[in-house]
Amino acid sequence: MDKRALFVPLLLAFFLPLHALDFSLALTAVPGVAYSGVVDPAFTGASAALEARLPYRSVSFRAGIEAGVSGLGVQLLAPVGVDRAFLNVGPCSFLAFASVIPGLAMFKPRPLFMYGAEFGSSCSWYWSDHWGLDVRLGIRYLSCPEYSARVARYEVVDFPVSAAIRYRL
Amino acid sequence: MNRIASAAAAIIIFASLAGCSYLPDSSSGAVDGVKVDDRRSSILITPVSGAGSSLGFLFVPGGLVDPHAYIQPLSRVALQGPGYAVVIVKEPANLAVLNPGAALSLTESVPGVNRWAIGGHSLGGVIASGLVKKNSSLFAGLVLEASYPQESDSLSAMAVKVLSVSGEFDGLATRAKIDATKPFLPASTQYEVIAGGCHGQFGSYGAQDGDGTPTISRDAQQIIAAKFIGDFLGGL
Repeated sequence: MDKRALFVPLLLAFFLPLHALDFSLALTAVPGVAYSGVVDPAFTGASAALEARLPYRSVSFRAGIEAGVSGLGVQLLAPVGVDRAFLNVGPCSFLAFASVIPGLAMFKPRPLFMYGAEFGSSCSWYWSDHWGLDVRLGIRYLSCPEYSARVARYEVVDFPVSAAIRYRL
Repeated sequence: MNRIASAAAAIIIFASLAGCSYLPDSSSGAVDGVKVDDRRSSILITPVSGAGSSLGFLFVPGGLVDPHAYIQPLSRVALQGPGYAVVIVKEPANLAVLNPGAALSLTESVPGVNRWAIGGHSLGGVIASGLVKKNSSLFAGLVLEASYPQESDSLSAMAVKVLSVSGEFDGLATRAKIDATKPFLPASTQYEVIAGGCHGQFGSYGAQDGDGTPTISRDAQQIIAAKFIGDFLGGL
């Protein structure tokens, strides 16, 4: 993957939170299904994420920062994506989302670049004008090319499950 | 809200920076003569010709060290004597303290192995000592590489066989610390000091913060350590 392709999502990740109208703090459990090209179901790790959303017409742009533990130790990800509601039932909204995920595997003497993508669905429920809950299910692919070249192949497919508390302005 | 969000972002980033693991050297692969099965929760190393011993060796990596950094030194252990199955435990965030029992679930996973010895490097040795303390019937022996048990996990009254291997110039698990914790190990414990060795060269991940300066090569230290461990496993 050309690292220059990450310029746009990183730019979004930086500027979008400055204008965001909706923030969430999420905890994620990460059951994994595949590891290095073979089916290998196991619990992969967990993460905490802070995300900002900016509604625009019928979609919302989202950008965040996520720290978690995984098969690479600690990783710092910056998912950037878009979501769109496909069903509204009372205070609940069901959304589909897609993200690209640039990130870093946190190693000494220097971190290694990693990237991935995630697709999934979430359900948001606001119990007041400002506060709400979010439950999210996704399928995520992550790869760390330099680690693969230097140590051992690292490509994983996981099913992250998140619960988040949301606040909208 | 922006202040809360900023604080949360800072905590997330700080936690990530604090959890940096040592990356294995690019020359840290297995030696010839072994096969490596790299799974999500463990790395199994066995001689290509098959493990001749029914004794397996579980290994808990040092804290914040990528488990692949131990493939090379433990490949050498796998080739000792009749040949051993060696299992490197993968831990969340590369910190065994977060899931100390992870090693126990792996003892059922290797065909042909019906007895186990356990070992660990540095913090991994501390965790291995605790596992032996709590599961005395499960392990025939304990190998401590540049490590020692906590007082709460004292093995002094247990019949388990223990090998303690350290480096002469270890700047972290120093001679003084190892000597001070001898009362927590059985009197029969075998102590070996590798002349010219250091802390980090038990794995293959480069220089470690706070470590001493070795006067022998990493390969030399690992070959000597593997011989000590192989002889110890052969006596179990």
